Amino acid sequence: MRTLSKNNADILGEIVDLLIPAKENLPSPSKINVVDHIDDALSNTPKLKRIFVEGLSDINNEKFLSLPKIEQIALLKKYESSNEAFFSQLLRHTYNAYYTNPIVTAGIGMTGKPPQPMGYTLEKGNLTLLDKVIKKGQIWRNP
Amino acid sequence: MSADKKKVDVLVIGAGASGAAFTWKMAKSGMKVMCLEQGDWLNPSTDYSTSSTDWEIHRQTDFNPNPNIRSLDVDYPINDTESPIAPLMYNAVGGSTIHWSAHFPRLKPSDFRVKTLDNVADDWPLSYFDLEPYFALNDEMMGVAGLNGDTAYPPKSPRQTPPVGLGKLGDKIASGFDKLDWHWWPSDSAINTVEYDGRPGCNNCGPCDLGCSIKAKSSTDVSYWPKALELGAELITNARVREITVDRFGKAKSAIYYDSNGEVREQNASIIVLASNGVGTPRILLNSASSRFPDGLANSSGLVGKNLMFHPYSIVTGLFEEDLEGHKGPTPLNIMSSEFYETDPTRDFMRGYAYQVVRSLAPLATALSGHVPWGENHHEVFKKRFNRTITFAVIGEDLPEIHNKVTIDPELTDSFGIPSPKIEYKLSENSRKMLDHGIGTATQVLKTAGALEITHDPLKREAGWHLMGTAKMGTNEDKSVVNKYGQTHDVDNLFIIDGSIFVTAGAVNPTSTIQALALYIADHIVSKSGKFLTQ
Repeated sequence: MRTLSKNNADILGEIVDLLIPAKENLPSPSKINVVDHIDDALSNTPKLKRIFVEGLSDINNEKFLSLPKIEQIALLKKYESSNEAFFSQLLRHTYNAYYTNPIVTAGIGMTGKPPQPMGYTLEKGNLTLLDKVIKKGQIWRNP
Repeated sequence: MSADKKKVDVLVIGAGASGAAFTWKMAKSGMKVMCLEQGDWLNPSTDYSTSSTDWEIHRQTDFNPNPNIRSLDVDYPINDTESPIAPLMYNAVGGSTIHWSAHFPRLKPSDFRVKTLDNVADDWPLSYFDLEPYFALNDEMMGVAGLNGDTAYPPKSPRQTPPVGLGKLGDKIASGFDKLDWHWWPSDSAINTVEYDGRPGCNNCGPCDLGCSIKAKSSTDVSYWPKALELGAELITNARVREITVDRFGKAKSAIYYDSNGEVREQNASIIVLASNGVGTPRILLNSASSRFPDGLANSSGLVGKNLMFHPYSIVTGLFEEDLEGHKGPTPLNIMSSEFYETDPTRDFMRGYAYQVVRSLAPLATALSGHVPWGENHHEVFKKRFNRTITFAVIGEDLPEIHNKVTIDPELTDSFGIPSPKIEYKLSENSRKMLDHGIGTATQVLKTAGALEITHDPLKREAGWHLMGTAKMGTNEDKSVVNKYGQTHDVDNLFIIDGSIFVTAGAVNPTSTIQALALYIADHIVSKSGKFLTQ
């Protein structure tokens, strides 16, 4: 069951797509259920839910959904400075949902899988660069 | 109150880095040893998030190193409102080695003689070379990846496994050090790079701080503890110690603790050993005030909780043009530089600092770094930063100051009602000058290596990993809490073995030295056990 009302979820869906527009192989947040992810996060934290509901309500009062895109962006910029508590949480939870999605992590050049169990191959590196350090000799101070 | 367990020879409080090493040594020596740990066991296969896609979110929540943010039932809150650095720790079998990055440098010989050499703070009552055999034993038990021959140290015993790989990113920054002709070295890490001691080699997944699900990282729950338990040590988890009691002769008698059901229990012992970290140990001592010890147990010097040292960190980050594959490999790159470690009289500060070089931020952390805007340019800027940053953590030697302290908060308690600690800390002028110097030199290395843009955080708040000095070691009973064997001056069967007893902090991660000290103290107690066990 949703924590946010349908209207607030619709507004949030519009907002997250403005925060992270789709580009090439990277989808828009609304296409990968970012709103559902945020909704889940709010369901466990009453304080966070209140911040979101109040913030989205303020935006709704500006008839956000009916504004042209350029005015929606201007309004978000205004809220970024005037309601930092809400906006910082909005960004955090949007990014949390977006950058933990396998489609996105694959799209940015990773494997799209979590770090384990496969891990990665790592080059040993060029240890010959230590030659000059070795040649200089002891630098520890003998008391 | 229940006292349903028989008196033990040695009771250890805390199952982290020092408690694990010490308990193993006691069990190996045939002592009847029990450890009380306020946290629980974690199962590396199932309790760590690195096999889940949302692993990065766990850093913000249930696996955050800050107990005030994590707020798990097993944690105690800490009032840190009067400190610019937040104390960090983890409560579980393995303690903070569960979430540590496994940097394993030793303090250096000069760190033990700062008064003699530089006329600051105090000398330690023992030397690097007194600890050397214990460093070597501890390395063998923990398993250390590294490269022998570091010119910033006396020769060490052979490292157990080869050093952690540098990768493209390491080669890039090593080229900067090389051009400047400055010291750098692959630092010792308590991470298997190939199979060792029944544990596999690291697969370079990255986030060591979220717990190692394959047990390549040596947290003490997978290194010392299985061996200690096999030797007969007893480990009681979910045992939250409230206080230590004393008998009519002023000797430590027992620990009073809450079990997992909230029932108060009492465990008697011939010797009691605190291994609860530089905040937890003074908390227990101060909470153990009695008519005989009205200012807290073992506190006739008034120094319990005083002289709190962190390692203050400045963070300097360089952005590079090319993809450095910075998400591959243990996040702490395991390069350290000691170029500016020792005192140089031409500088405007005493003692020195080291650098730890850290790999690039993971995807979510990159997005949240404050450098990536929302909106049309989001992806473009993200792409220019992800995998392309190298960070220097400038770790400075924090000298002890009496006003930096742990006390008992008059109101705050944990969920069992045990009074919580309060931290008061101010960064000294010496440390500030030291870190500013480090920001300048780190910037120089990054520029030389080709960084396009460099930013810095002058003092990282969420960096109170190392908690030291709050029950300092010394020979003068009026100016220290314990002697060179961790034995409290006031109560001769009460010992402290964690970072609390550090006299000075050095400028490297303390765990290797904490554990070597624990083994050294264990050897002493075993040699004197006849005295204690007949009491």
